[in-house]
Amino acid sequence: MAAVFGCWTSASRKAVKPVFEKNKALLFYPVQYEGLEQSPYIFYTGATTNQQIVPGLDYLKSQGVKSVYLVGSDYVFPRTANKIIKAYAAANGMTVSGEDYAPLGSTEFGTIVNKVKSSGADAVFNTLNGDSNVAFFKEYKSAGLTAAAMPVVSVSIAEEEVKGIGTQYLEGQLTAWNYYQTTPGAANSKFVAAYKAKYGADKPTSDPMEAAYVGVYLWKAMVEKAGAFDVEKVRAASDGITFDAPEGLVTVDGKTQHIAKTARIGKIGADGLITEVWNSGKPVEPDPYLKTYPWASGLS
Amino acid sequence: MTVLFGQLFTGISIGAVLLLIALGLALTFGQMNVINMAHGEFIMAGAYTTYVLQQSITGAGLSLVVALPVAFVVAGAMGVLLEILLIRRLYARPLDTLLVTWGVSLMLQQLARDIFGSPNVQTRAPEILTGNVALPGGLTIANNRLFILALALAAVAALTLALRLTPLGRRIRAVVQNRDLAAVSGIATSRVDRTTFFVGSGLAGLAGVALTLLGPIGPTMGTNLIIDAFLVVVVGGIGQLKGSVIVAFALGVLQATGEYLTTLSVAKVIVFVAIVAFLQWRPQGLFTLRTRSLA
Amino acid sequence: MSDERLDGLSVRDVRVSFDGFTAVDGVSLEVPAGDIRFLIGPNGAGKTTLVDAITGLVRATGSVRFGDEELLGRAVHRISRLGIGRTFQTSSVFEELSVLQNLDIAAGARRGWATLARRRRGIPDEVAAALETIGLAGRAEHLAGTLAHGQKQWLEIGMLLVQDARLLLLDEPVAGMSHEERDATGALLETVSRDRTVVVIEHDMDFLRRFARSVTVLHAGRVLSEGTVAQVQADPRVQEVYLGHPVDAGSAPTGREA
Ligand SMILES: Nc1ncnc2c1ncn2[C@@H]1O[C@H](COP(=O)(O)OP(=O)(O)OP(=O)(O)O)[C@@H](O)[C@H]1O
Ligand SMILES: [Mg+2]
Repeated sequence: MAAVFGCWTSASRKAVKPVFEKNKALLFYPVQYEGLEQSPYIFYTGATTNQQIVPGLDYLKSQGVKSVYLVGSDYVFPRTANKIIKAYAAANGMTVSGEDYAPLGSTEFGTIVNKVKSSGADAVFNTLNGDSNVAFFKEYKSAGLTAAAMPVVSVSIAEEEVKGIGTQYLEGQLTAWNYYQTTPGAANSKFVAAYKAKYGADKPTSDPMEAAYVGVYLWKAMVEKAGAFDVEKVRAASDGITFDAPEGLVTVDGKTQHIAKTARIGKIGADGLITEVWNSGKPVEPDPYLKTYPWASGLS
Repeated sequence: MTVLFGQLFTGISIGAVLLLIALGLALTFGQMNVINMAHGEFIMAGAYTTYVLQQSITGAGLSLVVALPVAFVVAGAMGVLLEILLIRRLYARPLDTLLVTWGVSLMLQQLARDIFGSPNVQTRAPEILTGNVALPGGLTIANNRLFILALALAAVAALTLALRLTPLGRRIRAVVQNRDLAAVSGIATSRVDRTTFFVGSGLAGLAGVALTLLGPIGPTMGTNLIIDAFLVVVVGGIGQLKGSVIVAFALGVLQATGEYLTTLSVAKVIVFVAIVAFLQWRPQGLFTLRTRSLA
Repeated sequence: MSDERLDGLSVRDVRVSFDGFTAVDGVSLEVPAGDIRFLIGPNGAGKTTLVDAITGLVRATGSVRFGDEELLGRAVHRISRLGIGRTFQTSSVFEELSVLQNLDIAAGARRGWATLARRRRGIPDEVAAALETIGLAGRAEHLAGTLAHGQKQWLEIGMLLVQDARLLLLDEPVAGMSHEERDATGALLETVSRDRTVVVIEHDMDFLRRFARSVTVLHAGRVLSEGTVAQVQADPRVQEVYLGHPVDAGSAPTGREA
């Protein structure tokens, strides 16, 4: 087996990780995740926390947000993400007004929204997973909470999920990713056009899709540089590999096997697409253990 | 204080959702003594009916109003089909029925995936149902929750009246109470079964329409719901609507209180432990029908 | 009801098996129109199962005709609508419905589908008449589950009356009744048999002697003896089945006093 591209949740990745390590096989994992992991046999092509969550917080801080409410699903990614957020908040003069977890798959958000509303927080940081987002945002709007008064930053809602919730509930809310269908550039125009030609005009592209797509090309470049499919040779050749991706230039960091990516904060529009309101200007070096952030020293 | 009142209403509205998803199941469970595991997918069918109707009826309010009866008929027809094709043939084999309807539930999920795709789809709610009523003291009550509460209560009232006052309702009750006696009294029990399945499944369709206002619309939306509905019906007692009504609201308030005082996960555990303890004490549920064997 | 035809029951070679065990083993009997036939036999003889077969509740082979109609193979409610009514050994009424609603269900079973959805007002004549006949006029609104044992059994018979049953199959109708209640029930049987055919399963020999017009004795799924009360009592095979050995005519059979 030369390489495997896939896995969706952190749980699924963690389940297969020992298998890949034992058999010295390569996995390209395409989804943003909670960081604090590094495996010689996994390439992480989605964002680690300093390429998504930290920029999201930076953005909120720049907008004058002083207090955040943390809402997440009850599993490893949100819990780890919220640990990071709390450490960031402590170091940056923000308060965390509350922290709530919903069981995975939960679609009853009356209580949480009730608490969020009465907390008076400036913003909500949302790490809910899947269907829970639908119920959360419907409840949020019904409670009279708005993007203008109390914006929600989400890290699991991409264009596909927007379609499944409805802009009626999401318009004006924020997302943190590295790629949107609207991201400018020739590489993306080509990617979006090709995707729609194959899967239909109504099917949007999104960050995890793009990261999976990028993974294949990065592997191709590694194989070409190594001149072999051999896993160890491919790994050895990985450092410094670049690709002109739809999201912009990405570069593989051979040490962490993560990639340098541009962070982008987006706002959900009435058309269901997400448009960028801020970006990091240049690709952010991956730092899965947040070693370069002093406030994060107590985390790992 | 505001939060507490808000929580009380949250509990009541959780109860209303539970009631709406369990009501039809209570009816079919009482009738056939088997749990129809595909009940959740009938709810899903109701939700997708709303979605499909919105493709042609663009007014969100109108499409919702139209969706209620259409979803009732769509889900009801699916129920009748299931009853004729499978449940009827597995009469008095509850375990087999459970497994077979579970299989049907998986097939219906896959069918939905094939037709509508695996990602969730969206429906547009009428603007009025995304707002809320503001009460003094900063308390707000969400309109969609009020709507669902009203719908659940209306469904219970209509069903109760129909069961009590119409000859058809009396026949349904007769079959539930004593199938053999009903048959030798000249009641076409198989026709009554079919009617019951139509109404019970139709109520699931109604619930599906209502749930588009609250939660996701996707192929797996029924899987979580069936468990909640099952619990309400079992704790409420077989063949008794009032048991389901009381239990739905009690569980709703218990869950909301637990969620507020602890966490959502712990609240779920509290609810489950309460249910297990209750069933230890009253395995037959809150209310039971006096049957021939117990008379 | 006097305008209705009086029919007899004809059972030919009826067999019922449960997983290889034959509970009714080739029973044939003729009950002429207007008869009060008592069906007796020891526990497990197959009496109830025979009635179950006639009313379609268990699958049977052979032939059962009521008048010109073949009953075997028809759905339970269709048999009922041909005018065959029965009661159950364990008294069976709809406990959670009122006396009136019980009668209403029995009366309504033959009505067309169209009238079903409408709520009828007032008490139909035949229901009122049945309430009088079974002596429950004063308890019409009570839940059937709250009735005394004997009253439940009368309600069952009342349900057969409003159902226009022309063949009544009663499974131990006086079990658990006091002497006065038995007398009343017996009188009721004589009244209803004027324009109906009646089959009674009973263990109570005193009741049998007073009210039976003819008797069939079942034993181990077969007909052991048949005739008048005196003929059957004189039959040594019957005495043997009931007492284990032949005894003088007149003292047997006694059977179980329920
Ligand atoms: N559903 C059934 N499955 C298996 N065996 C049965 C079933 N019903 C009845 N039997 C058996 O058939 C035989 C006849 O039973 P049945 O009830 O007809 O007797 P019976 O003459 O009415 O007796 P009793 O006087 O006790 O009421 C019995 O041995 C009984 O155990
Ligand atoms: Mg018997």
